[in-house]
Amino acid sequence: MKQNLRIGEGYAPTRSNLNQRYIRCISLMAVLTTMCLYAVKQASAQEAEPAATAVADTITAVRDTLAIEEVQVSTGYQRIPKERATGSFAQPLEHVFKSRISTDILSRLDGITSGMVFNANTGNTINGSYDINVRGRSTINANDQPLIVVDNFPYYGDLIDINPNDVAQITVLKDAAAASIWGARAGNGVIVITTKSAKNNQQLRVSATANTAIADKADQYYNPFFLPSDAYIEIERFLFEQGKYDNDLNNTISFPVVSPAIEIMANEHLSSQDSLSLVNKLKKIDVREQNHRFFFTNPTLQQYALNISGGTDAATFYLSGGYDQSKLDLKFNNNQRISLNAVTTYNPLKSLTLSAGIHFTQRKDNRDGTFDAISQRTESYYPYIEYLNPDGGASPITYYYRQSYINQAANSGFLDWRFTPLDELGMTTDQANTLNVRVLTGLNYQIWEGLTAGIKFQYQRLSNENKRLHPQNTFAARDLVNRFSAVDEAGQVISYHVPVGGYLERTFALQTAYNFRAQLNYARVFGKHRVDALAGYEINESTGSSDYYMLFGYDDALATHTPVNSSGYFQTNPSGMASLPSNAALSASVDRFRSTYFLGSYTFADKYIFTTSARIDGSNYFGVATNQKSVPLWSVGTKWNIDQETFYDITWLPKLSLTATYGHSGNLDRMTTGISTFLYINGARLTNLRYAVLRSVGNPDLRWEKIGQAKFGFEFALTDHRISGSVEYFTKRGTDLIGTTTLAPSSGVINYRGNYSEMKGHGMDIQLQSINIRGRFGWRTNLLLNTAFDRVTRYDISLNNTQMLAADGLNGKGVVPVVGKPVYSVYSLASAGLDPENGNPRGYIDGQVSQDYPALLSINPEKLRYHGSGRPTVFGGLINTFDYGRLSLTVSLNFKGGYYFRRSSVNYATLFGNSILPHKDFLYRWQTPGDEAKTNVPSVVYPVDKGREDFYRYSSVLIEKGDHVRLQDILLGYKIPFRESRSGIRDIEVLASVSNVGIIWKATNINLDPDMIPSSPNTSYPRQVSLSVGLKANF
Amino acid sequence: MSLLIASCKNEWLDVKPSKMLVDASTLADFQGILDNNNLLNKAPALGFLSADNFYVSVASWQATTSTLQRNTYVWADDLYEAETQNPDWTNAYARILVSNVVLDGIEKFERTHGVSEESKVLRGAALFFRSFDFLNLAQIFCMPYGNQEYQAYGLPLKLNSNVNERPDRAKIDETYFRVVNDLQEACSVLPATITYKTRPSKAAAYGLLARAYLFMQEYDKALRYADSCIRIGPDLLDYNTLLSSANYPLPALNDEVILHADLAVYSLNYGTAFNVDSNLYNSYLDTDLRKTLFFRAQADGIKYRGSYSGSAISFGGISISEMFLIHSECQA
Repeated sequence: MKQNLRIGEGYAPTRSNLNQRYIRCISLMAVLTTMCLYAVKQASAQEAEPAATAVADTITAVRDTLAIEEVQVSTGYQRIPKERATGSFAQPLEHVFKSRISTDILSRLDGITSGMVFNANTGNTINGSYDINVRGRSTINANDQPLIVVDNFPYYGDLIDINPNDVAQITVLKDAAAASIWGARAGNGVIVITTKSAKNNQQLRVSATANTAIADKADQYYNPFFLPSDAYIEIERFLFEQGKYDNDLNNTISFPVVSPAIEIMANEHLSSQDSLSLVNKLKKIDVREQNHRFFFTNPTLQQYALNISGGTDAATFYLSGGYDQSKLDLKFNNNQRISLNAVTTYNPLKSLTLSAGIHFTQRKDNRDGTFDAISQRTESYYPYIEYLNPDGGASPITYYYRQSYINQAANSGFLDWRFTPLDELGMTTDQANTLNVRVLTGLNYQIWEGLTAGIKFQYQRLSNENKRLHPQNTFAARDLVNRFSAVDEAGQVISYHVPVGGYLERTFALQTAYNFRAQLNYARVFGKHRVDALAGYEINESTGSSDYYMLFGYDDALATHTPVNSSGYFQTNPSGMASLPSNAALSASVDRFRSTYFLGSYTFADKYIFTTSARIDGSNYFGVATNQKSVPLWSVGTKWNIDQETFYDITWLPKLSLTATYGHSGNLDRMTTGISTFLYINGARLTNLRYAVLRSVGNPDLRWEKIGQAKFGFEFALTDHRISGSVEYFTKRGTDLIGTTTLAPSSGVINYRGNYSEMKGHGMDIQLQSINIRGRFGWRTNLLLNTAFDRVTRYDISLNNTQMLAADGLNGKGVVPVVGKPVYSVYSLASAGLDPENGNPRGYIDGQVSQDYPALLSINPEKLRYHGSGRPTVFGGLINTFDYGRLSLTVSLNFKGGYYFRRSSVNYATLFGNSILPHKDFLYRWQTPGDEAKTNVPSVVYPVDKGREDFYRYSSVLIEKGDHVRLQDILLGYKIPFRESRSGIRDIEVLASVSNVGIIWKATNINLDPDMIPSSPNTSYPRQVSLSVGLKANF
Repeated sequence: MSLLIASCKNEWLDVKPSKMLVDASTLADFQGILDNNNLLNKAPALGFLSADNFYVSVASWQATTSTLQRNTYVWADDLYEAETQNPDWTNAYARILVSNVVLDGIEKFERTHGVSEESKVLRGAALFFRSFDFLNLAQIFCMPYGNQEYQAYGLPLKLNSNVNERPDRAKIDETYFRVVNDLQEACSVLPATITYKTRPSKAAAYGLLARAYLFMQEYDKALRYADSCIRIGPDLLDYNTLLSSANYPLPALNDEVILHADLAVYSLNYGTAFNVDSNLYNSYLDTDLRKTLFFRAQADGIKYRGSYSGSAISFGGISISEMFLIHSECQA
């Protein structure tokens, strides 16, 4: 019963969006180049500029680039000069970080921070946040994101609440000597963010910033889960002829949606000619073009920031305010942020410093879900949807129920049940208000020379209030009323279980955190010996709670609502029984940590440096036994500045030092707890008592995951810093990782989660900087090259075929812990191409070509083809900066490589499934013998053989290499100094940039951005090119 | 400041991370855990499967997918073949874990809140359940008490809730001593009257002790505890009051039941899967009410319907009739 479909033949592939991008990108670059040339001309016209200042500027610029070696690094507990640190501290390239224009901090770090990779297509990125790994992956099942520390304390909430204009410094702690002071939460590395403050005796400074950006509209033609209307309708026609829609067409119980094309085909009153011409009309429609026009808009950003700072010898202050406004891809989706900061210090005595700060951020996010409501409803997301009717008005679309039912309901007293997208747009209020307040106080007292005592306290309160109001005339509100309308025997509405009106959903979430720290610092120099030490105690409590409720019959103008019978079980329309949507939910949580720590370093003659750290953590996430044992996490490190030795005489290599560190840090899994937990259930058998069922078995020995890291490295600089940099090799070993194991049944449980897994990792961080050309025209290059490999070394549960194949490192799918392989691995079934006779996909069984799909799908897991890691193993950035006078141009490339992903293709099981899940590969399928040379897409068979589809879905032809190089951004800066200006302006910086320019090379030849692999028809637009302009004036 | 002072205490870190979770810290929680009769009031049934007072048809034996069940029924040398789990063992230890969670929880509770009458009763109940499982397991997985050759192969006596600690098998003697010692403690604290027969009572503890001593062949002690049980336990049922028209004429929690427990359900011991030996059935006089209340003669065999569980599930708890049996046996 195999039949070949012959549709869509000769359909031309959609034009390459990447090429289109190149064209746009080149034109933008041309604009920028013109700007550059103009600026150069202006600069050279200013002949008055003495040559000496130009040299001075160049020197300043060079010093700026070398700043990384001069600055202090911050661990969140202390600030130390980088020369005296043994650990691996990475800082983003400052000039790029400062020139990038964005609302958030993290996106600015991409490609300019050593050892840091931004993963794509993960669960985190799908939810709109970043997915960052520092020096690769260190955990299997626990949290894999680095700890974020802001102003010395772990940060709660979203980093979007911190305005990048208020950030003074970012340090990434990568190895044990740097990070292990953060103990049980440092296993994934630590990102330490320090916000701006003023210095004593600092002149009054004012700085004002205004930035604006605009990006391309989201690319509607990118997603491969699409078939043009003609091909789609021909599939519908084929299925209609097969009788697939008979049930739906005859269904007078639930009235499922029937597509407009099927309605025409099924309409017996139409002549075949009329029917054909109506269908042909539909074939000409393309919903993507309409989506682009009606729902999408150009994302824009406007950013304004102002800060004032100054200081006397007794006090300092820093005040800042910022306002950001962004419009997102979809119309009516936007957000605003207001940030205010005030930081002050006061020295009542020379030996006493008091400090206080308040950081306030308010954010408003508006969302409109109309487009999602259409596109996420696969059953009715036809490629020939029309949002306008022929006379240009908004048109209802086929949605939720069959048209005939909606018409009939209109005569039975129901509210209008039609869904008119363009009328819905902007009608629902969906607003989130976030308020993030941090209050810090501190006291520092010098007890005697070299010894100081300090106390710090921080209170953070984060509230999030969400209001989703569906007014009476929205489809959601009308549909809810209609579904719960009571009808008489004739089907006429007689009363309402949900009152006619709008409904309101409210969510309140509150998180509060207290941090307290007491610390003693000691620093003393005795001749050639220098000793630095600190010890402290800190506690941290964070509590969170949220509640949700729903009000029906809500009138926003009067803020009134009507109570409903929320426990009732009602007859619903068109069919079925249901209770009203759940209208309340509550949750609450508590995190507690208690720690003591010590840091020490000894320097001899600036040549030999030894450092050590130790920290004991207790937490309510650990088992009782663990908290009692108080086992410290520790580190040791050493550094040898060879260039300081008397015997050192390599003149062309004036700087050379070696470092080695070793130590441990920890990690937590918030899903596993040390205590046994139960769930109450009502109505026990026989007694009807309320009883408690064991939900998870507590593990009194539950402890942090332990990550040991050893690092060896060297730093160097050639004469005049022509070439300088560092090379570090690290090796990691994770033990006590959270994993599932099998216990002896006599323990009471068989599969058990605990500290039962292990993994290893290693890699290199290479940072190089070269000054290629010096002078009025300057050119320097920064290269960041990182590698990070991981492999599981112990996992007690073996995965089966399906688990190994289904997890492809994409779209947040789970980890694949197989001993000897990376945590995220990509496996497939080896393909033997298509059968030249019939276009069936073929595989191998014991070396023999086979089409026995059940056997192919159940081959031994060891025989699956292993491609490699699902996450980048090689990554970094290449940044070229050109200076000409006061003009600078920075071109940042970033690259990722050494990883694989599985792309989607047509799957006849879902194409011919309950609703049509289209895929453009359908157009490239095998159709006649000989096609097997041109395509890997199997021929159509109907009815579908699910095994055949699964085999193709997991076959090796769909695995692609992810390696690519991206032109991240081109930044152009021009600084105008005002030497003696009456306005008080010291200088003005003008910035212009193009970002997300595009991919300039990729290993795969498919038309997909490896950082944005769509998994369904309605998600994933690749990052759009955006153009920004900024102005910063310093007074 | 109070936060600071509180943080120095050890209990500061013992707070549960989510309020949704019940962390078993109050006496009401412990009672709730012990009231989970679906889990706790169960007894292993492989002994029943290997007994000779019933039989199954060849067809239903062949239809049974579980190797363990089929092999147990025919007393095969290798019960498991490729199977790796024994539900009787696994489930009994899952119950023992819950009892241990309660015992550890009460110990911690008593350290901070002091010992109360209620906490003692709950401790007694948890000890009872654990002993009930140990004693039941010993009948299936150990040689009889007194056996010297396999003395080393008693049960792993899992006595705390830390699943990471794995005890070795205790000696057979130790296994029984543990059971009788714990039961004696339970006797001293469990109440004489209870509201629900799914909860252990003093009579249940006496009864289980009587059973344990009978297994240990210490007949004087068995007699004494059976006697104590009968003294405070319920009366026998008057079978004239039972309705033979009911599907299962003996209701669950009937007067004779001291502690309710079901036997584990296997396909071979559930409902009408098994047939009663006709010799046994025929040994009842026709006038004996038990012949009609306990059995139903069907075309495919004689079916048992006299379970004290009031259903197709066999009874595995403690009843007063069993005490009379022990009493008589000890006097014989």
